[in-house]
Amino acid sequence: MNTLLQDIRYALRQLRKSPGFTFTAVTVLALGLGANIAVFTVLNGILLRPLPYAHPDRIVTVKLDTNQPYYAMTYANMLQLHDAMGANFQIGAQLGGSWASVVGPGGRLQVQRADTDAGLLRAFDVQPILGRLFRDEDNRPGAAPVVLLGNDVWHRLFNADPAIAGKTLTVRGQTYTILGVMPANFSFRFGDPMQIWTPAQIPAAARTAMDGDATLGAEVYARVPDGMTAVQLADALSRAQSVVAKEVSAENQLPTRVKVTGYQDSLNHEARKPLLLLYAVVFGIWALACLNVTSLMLTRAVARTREIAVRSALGASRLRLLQQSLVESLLLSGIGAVAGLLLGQSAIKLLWTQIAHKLPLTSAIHVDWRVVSWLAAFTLATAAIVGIFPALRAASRNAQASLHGATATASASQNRTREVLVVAQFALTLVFLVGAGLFLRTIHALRQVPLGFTQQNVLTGGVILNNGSRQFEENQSTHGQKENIVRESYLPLIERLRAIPGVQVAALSSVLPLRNEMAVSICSGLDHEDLGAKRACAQGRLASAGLTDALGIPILRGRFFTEEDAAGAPIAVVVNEAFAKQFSPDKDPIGRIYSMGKQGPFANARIIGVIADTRQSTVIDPTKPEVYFCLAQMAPGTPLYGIATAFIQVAIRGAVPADSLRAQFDKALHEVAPDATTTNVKTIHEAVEDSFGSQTLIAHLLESFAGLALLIASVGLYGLLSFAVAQRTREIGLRIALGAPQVNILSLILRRALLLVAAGLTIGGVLAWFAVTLTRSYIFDVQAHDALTFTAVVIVLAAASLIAAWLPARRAASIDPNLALRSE
Amino acid sequence: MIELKNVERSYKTGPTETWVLRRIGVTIREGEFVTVMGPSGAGKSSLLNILALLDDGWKGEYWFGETAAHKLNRKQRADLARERIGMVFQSYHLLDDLTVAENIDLPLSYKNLPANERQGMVADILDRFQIVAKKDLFPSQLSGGQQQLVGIARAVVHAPALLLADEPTGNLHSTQAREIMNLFCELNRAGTTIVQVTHSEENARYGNRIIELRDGWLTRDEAVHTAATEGCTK
Repeated sequence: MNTLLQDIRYALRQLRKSPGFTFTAVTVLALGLGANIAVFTVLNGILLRPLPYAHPDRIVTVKLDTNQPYYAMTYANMLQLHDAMGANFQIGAQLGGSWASVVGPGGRLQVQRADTDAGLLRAFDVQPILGRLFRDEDNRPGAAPVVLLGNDVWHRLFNADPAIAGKTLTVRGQTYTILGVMPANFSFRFGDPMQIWTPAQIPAAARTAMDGDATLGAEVYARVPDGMTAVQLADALSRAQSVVAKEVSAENQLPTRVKVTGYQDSLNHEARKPLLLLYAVVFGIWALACLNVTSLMLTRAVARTREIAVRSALGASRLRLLQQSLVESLLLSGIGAVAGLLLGQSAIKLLWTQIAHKLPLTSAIHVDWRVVSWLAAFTLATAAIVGIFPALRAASRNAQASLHGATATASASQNRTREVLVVAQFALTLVFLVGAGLFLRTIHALRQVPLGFTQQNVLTGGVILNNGSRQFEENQSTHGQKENIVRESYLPLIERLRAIPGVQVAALSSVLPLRNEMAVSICSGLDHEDLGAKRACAQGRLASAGLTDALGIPILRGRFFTEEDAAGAPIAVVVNEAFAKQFSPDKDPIGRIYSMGKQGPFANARIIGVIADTRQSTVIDPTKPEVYFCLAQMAPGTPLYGIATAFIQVAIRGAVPADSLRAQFDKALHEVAPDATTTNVKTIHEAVEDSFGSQTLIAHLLESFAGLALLIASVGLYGLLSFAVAQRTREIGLRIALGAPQVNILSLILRRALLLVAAGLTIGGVLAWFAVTLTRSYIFDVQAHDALTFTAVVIVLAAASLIAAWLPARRAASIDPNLALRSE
Repeated sequence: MIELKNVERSYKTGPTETWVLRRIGVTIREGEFVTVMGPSGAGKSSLLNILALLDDGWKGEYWFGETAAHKLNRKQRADLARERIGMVFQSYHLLDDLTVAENIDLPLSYKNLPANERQGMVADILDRFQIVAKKDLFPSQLSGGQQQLVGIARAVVHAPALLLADEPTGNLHSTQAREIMNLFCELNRAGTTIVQVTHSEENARYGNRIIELRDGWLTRDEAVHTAATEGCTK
């Protein structure tokens, strides 16, 4: 212990004595460890940290195994599976959800409401800290409306009132009795802040209807029973489902297999690949930092040859010398780790907006024991890597030769080792630069994709009105408001928006391009034809007149909605080009009937126009068929009115920059509906950028990491050549004294640099050639082996290395031969 | 105390083998003060390195008391050297970043001695060499003679049976050199066997035996008669 303390004291003194070395080594290690720990913190929060539920690994999502998007299991189907598995099987469903603005003594809050059945919270095995959970009877139509509060809502809105149970809360115009408060760590869906839960009113028909209008789509969750695996549960449910499917009419063929996915996996699967790719990159950066500092330590070991020889002559064993060197490298990597942790966490804070925007489960991202353990493990590994090798090399030197020679020059093999390290650094850097280059080209290509709409001066945003009501509530006419949300709120809102100075056109739509916040799939025959499974299924949308003008979407045939398409006018439908091509390839779609229901005006909804395709949820996916109904023709009781009450978005095109319209948008909305709130207000350009998802984040991070790698490798080359120049001072002085011109000396140093860089580029080129295959699934419209990227990277690296080599070469050429020869 | 039989040392440079020591046979008794002399390249330092057990590449027999050093492996030789031998260097080889006290403590720190025992030993030697006031100074703050004084203190702090000195006064002026040689005499009188390598006839007279090497061969081995005006026996 005493010797350890002595070694620590000595190591600290050594580090203090060489501030240049210490600063460089600590900085490089801090960058390597910081990048590593920053990405690991994110990866840990999203992929590794278990969700805060009881036995979270046993909570699964249950879906029917089908390729159709937006295909939801019906609630009746879920009940049948529950019956088949037995009463002890914990299964439940979310049946709807929406944003809501709620008011309490603590002020106004925008909360996320989830409508669930009573089984859902039971499946999550959670108990409220106040009050009780939902019971089955709370889901019955006509039951007294009740609500469970999230812990943060309870705190913020009711100041953690312990007598809250039994009090009331108004949600979207409806008064609910507060049933209880959920525990602090509980959230469902996981990670959403400010949540409340209400029991869905489930009509009797929805409990049995496997098809038809009475069905209720459900997001189903279950707890894997004890003694069973998720795979076994999937098999058991699939066996039950095949029996259920047989009982359903042939027209509505149900999938016979059930897919069971871990709940956590279902939340983070999209982030898994990009995060692992990023981690691979920062692991490489860490390796690069280790190579660099090992190289520095080797140089230092050469400079300390005499010291090590003296220690050896005075009785220090190799183990003891190794211990001392390790203590020093441990101190370096320890300081680097602390600095890296601070740097990494600062980087996360700096990039937080992007991270929170592009990645799921970000609420769980923070430093915990896993992050600290990971950092500790990497710190030790770093210390071992950068400390052991140079120490072994130093300890293996001949002590007597070092004592008598008393010179501190590196052996040829040590120089070779350092050269190999520099070559390795350049090779790794080339791989990173190629990766970053490919991502930059991808982002550039994504930005060049024709979107089908204009990005100029268009502001978009979601609108939440608190006097809305849900479709099935409306059907039951129990709790729903009878007023027409379209007539009372949306149409006046459009008028207000259009009156804002600088606004050219304003429109509403349930879905805007690249803002796929609400997806509804509807199917119907054309011209009353009963096509069974071949019905025209498309994304159902509501839009007001002016949408195509606001977004600059070309009209290919017929017309878009106008003010004439009002309530009472014939029901008008507009489709997109993809719809026309897929469902009416040989016949003009204009004038064809797209029925919603078997009777009433919507049974004869007529296609009046075809608009050009626009990109929908991503810029790379092909456009799917769309069917637009006119918002002005929606009223309580009409098909699709539920879409209008659930969510609507605004598109405003101005003659002025879109950003400047934000405040006016808010003001106009509050004039129409004082308690309404906006969500996710952004320009359409921002929506496009957001749709690139984690690709932009990865591209920016890769750019930074590649820049970092370039810097580290250049410092490595600079250090190596500077050391070589210092070592060869006498030789160079002699050459100059014998008449060598400056250019000769310059080329002497640069030639060596050129050889090293060429070796690094060759090896790196080969490595990159194989490594880029990892990026195939992330890049778009650019070849993995893109010649332009490879060439540009080689030029950048060559230029950086020339700069790194030029400085020591200049120094060599300006050596004073008198001084150099006298110094010996 | 020490017996070398047929000790040889050579270095291979490519196909050629250069001999630096040839068939050296020497017996050094306990309490002797032996001076090794000879021109440059005669093999003096090579002999000293073999005696210090720093060199492994020699042939022959080396008896250190009853221990056959030639049969020991590297680790055993290092252990033996750590326990029984002290080294003094021409260029002192103090570690620049350690204080005087820490430099002296260095060989003790490589033995498994309790900290308080080490501190006691260092304090004793500082006192004995009258350098207590300098214990917290760094080598760069000392004169050459003072540095060599510390070097000798470091070499003898663990009370070695054999003290080896390679040109101990080579970098010192004459007054300092005399002080150092007197110190060797004191140590020798206290029972430490000393082997020094030197070019200086004057320093050689402090010892009681001179061994001379030429081209690797032992050419002279004779006692020093104390008729000289200077020396330990004076």
